Amino acid sequence: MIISFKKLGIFFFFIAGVFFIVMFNFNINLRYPFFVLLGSNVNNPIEKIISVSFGTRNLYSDILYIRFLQYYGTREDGNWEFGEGRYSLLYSYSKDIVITDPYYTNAVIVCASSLAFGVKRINEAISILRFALSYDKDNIKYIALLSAILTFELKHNIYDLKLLDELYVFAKMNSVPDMIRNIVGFLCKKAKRYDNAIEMYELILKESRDPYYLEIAKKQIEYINKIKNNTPRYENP
Amino acid sequence: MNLKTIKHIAISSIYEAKGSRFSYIIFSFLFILSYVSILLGIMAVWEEKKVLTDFFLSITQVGVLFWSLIMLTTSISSDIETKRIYLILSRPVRKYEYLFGRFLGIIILSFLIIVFVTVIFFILLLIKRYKIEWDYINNLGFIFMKICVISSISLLFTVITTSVYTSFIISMMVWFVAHFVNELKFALSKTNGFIFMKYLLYLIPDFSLIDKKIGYIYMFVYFFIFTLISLILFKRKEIA
Amino acid sequence: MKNEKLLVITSISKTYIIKDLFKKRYKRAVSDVSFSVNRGEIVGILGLNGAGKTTIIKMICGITKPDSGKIEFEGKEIRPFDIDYKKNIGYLGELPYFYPFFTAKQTLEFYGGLSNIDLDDENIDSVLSTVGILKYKEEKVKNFSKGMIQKLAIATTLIHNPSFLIYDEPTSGLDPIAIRDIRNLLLFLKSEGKTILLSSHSISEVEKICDKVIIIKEGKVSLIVEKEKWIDNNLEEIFVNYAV
Repeated sequence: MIISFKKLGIFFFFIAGVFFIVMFNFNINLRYPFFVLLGSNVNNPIEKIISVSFGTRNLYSDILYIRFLQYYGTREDGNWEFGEGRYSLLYSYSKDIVITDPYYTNAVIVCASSLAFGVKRINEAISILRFALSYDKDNIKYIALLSAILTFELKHNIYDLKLLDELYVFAKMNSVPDMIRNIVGFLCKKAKRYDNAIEMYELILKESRDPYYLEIAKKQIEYINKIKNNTPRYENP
Repeated sequence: MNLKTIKHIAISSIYEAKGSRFSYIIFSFLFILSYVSILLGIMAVWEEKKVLTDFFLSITQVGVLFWSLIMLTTSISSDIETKRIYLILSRPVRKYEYLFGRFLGIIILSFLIIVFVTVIFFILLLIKRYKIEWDYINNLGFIFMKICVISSISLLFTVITTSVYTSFIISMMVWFVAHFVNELKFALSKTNGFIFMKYLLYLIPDFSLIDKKIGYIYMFVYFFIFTLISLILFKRKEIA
Repeated sequence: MKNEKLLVITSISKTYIIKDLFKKRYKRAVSDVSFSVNRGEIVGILGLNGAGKTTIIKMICGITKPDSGKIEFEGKEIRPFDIDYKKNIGYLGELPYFYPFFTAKQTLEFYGGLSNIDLDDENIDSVLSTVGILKYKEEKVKNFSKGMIQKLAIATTLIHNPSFLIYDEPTSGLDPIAIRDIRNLLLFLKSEGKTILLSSHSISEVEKICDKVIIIKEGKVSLIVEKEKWIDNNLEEIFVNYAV
């Protein structure tokens, strides 16, 4: 049987193509939250599945954001002013957005900020940001807002050490600005996590080119070392 | 392979699809939704540009998806049912040239519709004094590749079944599953059974991979494989 | 030249596989059919519904591949789906159906293009006037009557100037005036040197124009009869004896 070169070439590309596809499809790449795993945390699962299965995830998250803005932008019954109400569904609407699209930075920032600074529900705000960061680890804005919320908490002498440790890990990443590292160093120092604080300032010294932050880092390392030497026993609160 | 014949059939396919009633319905639908997008953009306050972008990408994707699937399945099925295909195949036209020509015509017109909707979107952005992000063109490229892959799958099932409904339904099911393939693979990896399903999922295109750089090549390979299988099956098919 | 064999069919057969949900059935559509067509003749194929006429025609046109047998055109054997052979034939289907949004001119341009012919207005006008629908050149096909569609279909078979025309029931469903027009057209084409093979239900039409008739019964050739034989005997009687 004589087979032409053309047919042989097509056959070869066909087999190579199938091999290529199967190799690629071996990987599981859960880039977005899996609704089934989240269980009862997911509101309107049918709506979400239909929107995602049509490939309109981004548009659906925009619509959820518009719903959020409409809800938070409307006066609640019995209140004179915007922002005076309890807005009990605010967390639910925020969760919807972050579950659908944790990469929707502006919407997640607005939701977390509204929860933290608008209705003063810090834990809910942190939960939203934590969830978003678990998917979008490199997002500087999320890290910046998280550090801002922790700084705000510090005013009330609240030490969420588990969250601080998470923030510390994020702040060590390559693309994090000096300002955030400075805040994280300050928070670690306040929480008596001296080793972490020193490591953060040393990172600024190593990578920063801003003379303002370099000076702060040098001074803070000196100051923390003094505190450490003066402290009889280093305690981890 | 006679490229002139394929070109000729593709052009006639474009003319036929252009004059179809369903095309007018889809175009009207796209126009109305373009107006709706402006209203939604206003409601989104500081995210107007993102909402407009996402909206236009979505309506382009869904509109062209339905249009291409319905046009492809109905055109080939109607050629076979009305026996118009005999008049074509009695000419010096090979079977695979006919099928590829029809398919190419639909793909080309899908591309032109995408371009048309994109022009409307850019005009809207310029009116609202927003900057045109060329990343949008990249996203449109991904959408076009997805449409090509699903059209090639639809072509395969049209050849196998010659039923408009079966082919359309199966293509839509593959479209839905392709957006959830990772989740399904993850879920099945946690179970002991469903081995057949696990292997089947390796054959379904993963539309989440399209965000990666290799996405275009990945989609093109799928397009090539499904189209080739369709042409081979059609060549061997007995048209009664 | 007149008795030169243009087409020779030798023992062609065709069995269709009909697939039901869980089983397959075999239907023998054509069995061991042999006949020839001389150059310049009009040959008719007569038979009841389901006798196998259309299957024979489809095999001759290269739309379906015969399971066995041989088809020779101008002395050369044709391979299944031979492209070069199809340049020499013009086929008209049982119920011609064109793209409704095309005009008559666009339809001819489309089919001309498939035959790799670049048509100019002169060619198109000539063909349309031959079939008698020149004034409907720019009219959309969806507005055509059945007779006009049939004439347009004949026009599509003539644009690439083939030597051999194959018509499957060209007068089916037409009124008497249209039938007369088609009949006169076929006789005109014969006078132009075309060879025509046509299948029909209408014995009276076949009687008037054909030089030879092949009667098919249950997929087999029942009788081949020359024109001289039915001038004395009624073709209808012959048909009833051999086709039923």
